[in-house]
Amino acid sequence: MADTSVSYKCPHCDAPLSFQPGNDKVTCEYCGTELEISAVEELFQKKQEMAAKAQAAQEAKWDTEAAGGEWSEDEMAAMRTFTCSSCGAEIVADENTMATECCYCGNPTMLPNRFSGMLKPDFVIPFKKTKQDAVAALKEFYKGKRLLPNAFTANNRVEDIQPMYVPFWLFDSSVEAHAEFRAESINVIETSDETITETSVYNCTRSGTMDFQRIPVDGSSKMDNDYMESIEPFDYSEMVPFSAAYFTGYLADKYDEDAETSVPRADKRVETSAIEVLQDTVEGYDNCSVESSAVIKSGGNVSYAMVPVWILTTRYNGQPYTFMMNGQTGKFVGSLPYDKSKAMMYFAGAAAAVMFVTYFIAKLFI
Amino acid sequence: MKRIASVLTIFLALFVAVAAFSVRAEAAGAVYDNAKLLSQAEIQKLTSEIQRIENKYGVRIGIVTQPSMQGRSIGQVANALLDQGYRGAPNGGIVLLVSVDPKKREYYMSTDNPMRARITDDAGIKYIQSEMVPKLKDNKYGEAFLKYTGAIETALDYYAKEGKPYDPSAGFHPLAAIIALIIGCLGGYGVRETLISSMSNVTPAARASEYLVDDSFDLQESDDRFLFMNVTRTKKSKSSGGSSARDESHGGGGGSF
Repeated sequence: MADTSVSYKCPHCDAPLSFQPGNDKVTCEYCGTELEISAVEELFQKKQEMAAKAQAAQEAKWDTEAAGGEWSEDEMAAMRTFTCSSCGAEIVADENTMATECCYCGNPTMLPNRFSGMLKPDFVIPFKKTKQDAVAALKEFYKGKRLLPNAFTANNRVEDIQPMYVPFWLFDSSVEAHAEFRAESINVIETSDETITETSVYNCTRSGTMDFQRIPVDGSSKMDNDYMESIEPFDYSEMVPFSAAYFTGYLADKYDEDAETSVPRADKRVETSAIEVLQDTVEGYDNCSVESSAVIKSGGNVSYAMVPVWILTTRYNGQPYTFMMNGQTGKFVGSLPYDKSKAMMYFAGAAAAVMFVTYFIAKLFI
Repeated sequence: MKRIASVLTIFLALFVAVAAFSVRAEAAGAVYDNAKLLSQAEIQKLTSEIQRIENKYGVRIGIVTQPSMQGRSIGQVANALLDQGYRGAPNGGIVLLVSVDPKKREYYMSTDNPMRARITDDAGIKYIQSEMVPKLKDNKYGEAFLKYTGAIETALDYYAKEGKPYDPSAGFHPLAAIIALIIGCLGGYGVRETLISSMSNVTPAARASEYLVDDSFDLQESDDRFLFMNVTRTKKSKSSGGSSARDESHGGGGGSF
């Protein structure tokens, strides 16, 4: 059977190659051979082409057989099988997986056919944080969580820790913003008999232009938008031109939400910030609120980047809990379960303490 | 000789002051309504009520109203009234002086030391004030003075039974308990919600300010236009901050209303 995937193997010892976080070269962990990213790309370009052709041939054959099989067309559309070039096992992955590892031999595996018909990423932010960093960050995240169930940390084991390159659209935007604000200036005059409050109301008009650069919006429907926004920001100074060699040893998804679909999320953030920038120029008043606003985009570029994310999953009381860590900066986000009896205990304790103090204070004034 | 002269001078001054307000020592009755604030029925009711309390607890109680203090200190005059007409009872005396001068509506309660032990300058006087002043503010003088005598009786009754001065804040206060319960529950709920929210740091990004290019902002229009002015006036409370004429032999307290 022809190989339908490509394993990045060391040309010297044939061991699996993995890109190590923090390095600018691909290093064989077994024989120590160091390879330039460009060299790895050239080395395996032909293998990828061959694998892609083999995959196309297999899919054509497989599709006809699937027509009368036990899977529905939707299920078939979402699943693909690949042959591991290292051990020959069949790997099942969903339709958007670009890079994975063989579940049998653990070999890092590229699925080159997945790149066809899609845009090639412009940039990639290489992983800097390791699996050990992710585990340590999870333990640190548990600290200080007073409502964390004891059983969660005592019996809990992280089920899965996966490093994944997630597709992101980076929006550049030049905007022209106009806004009207209602501002108030308050002057309080104290006399012997009364307090006089003079509130002067102003209409403040502001217009201006500004540029936003590389606002990230994830292009994967599988990734929770709130999680993806929570792991921001990324350090774009470390972003490099895309090379598939960075995918070795990592999972990678291709986008399934195109840039056009992602535009509204970026636009909403730009509008909010543009109005706030204008509002900051309304100075010398005690209160200021937005009366009306208009934000007009006058230009914008979009680039496509793959960003590194560690995904940790665990299970508690039958419920899955997912945590994510920015693979570049180490920013860790997630939601933990809470113990309802502990929550009630804290409520009762705090309520009793506040009640005790408030009672004696209230008695002084009543 | 010098000391005797100064005592005589003070005595003369107080006598003149008291005489000016139509209260004579030898005729110190229960109620002197010089400001004509009370009806005859109200005066009779107050007088009988005061006599009942005086007989029951062995004290002297007075109420004096004046149309104006004519520039004199209400505390000093109340002390003089006490000395001239309401001192000497076994368990002490207390006199309330009320002035309804439109320029300054004020009151003062003066107590001697035996009464001071029963109605303390802080908790006791404050308790009578809390009962009486709201009615004074509403110009319901008859009701205000009944509140005054009622509060005195409560304080004296408590002292007779417990042997210590009445302090409303020392006992259980239902209203304070209700307020404490509500605020306590809100506080407990706030703590609970804060702890629950700390279990997650997943927050959607609403802004793009981190991606604003430095120095790219160009303010092209800035126009501020005055529209109008709102003026609100809030009257200051006059019930607090009363003057004090306390000394070694006089207690009490007062204020304006």
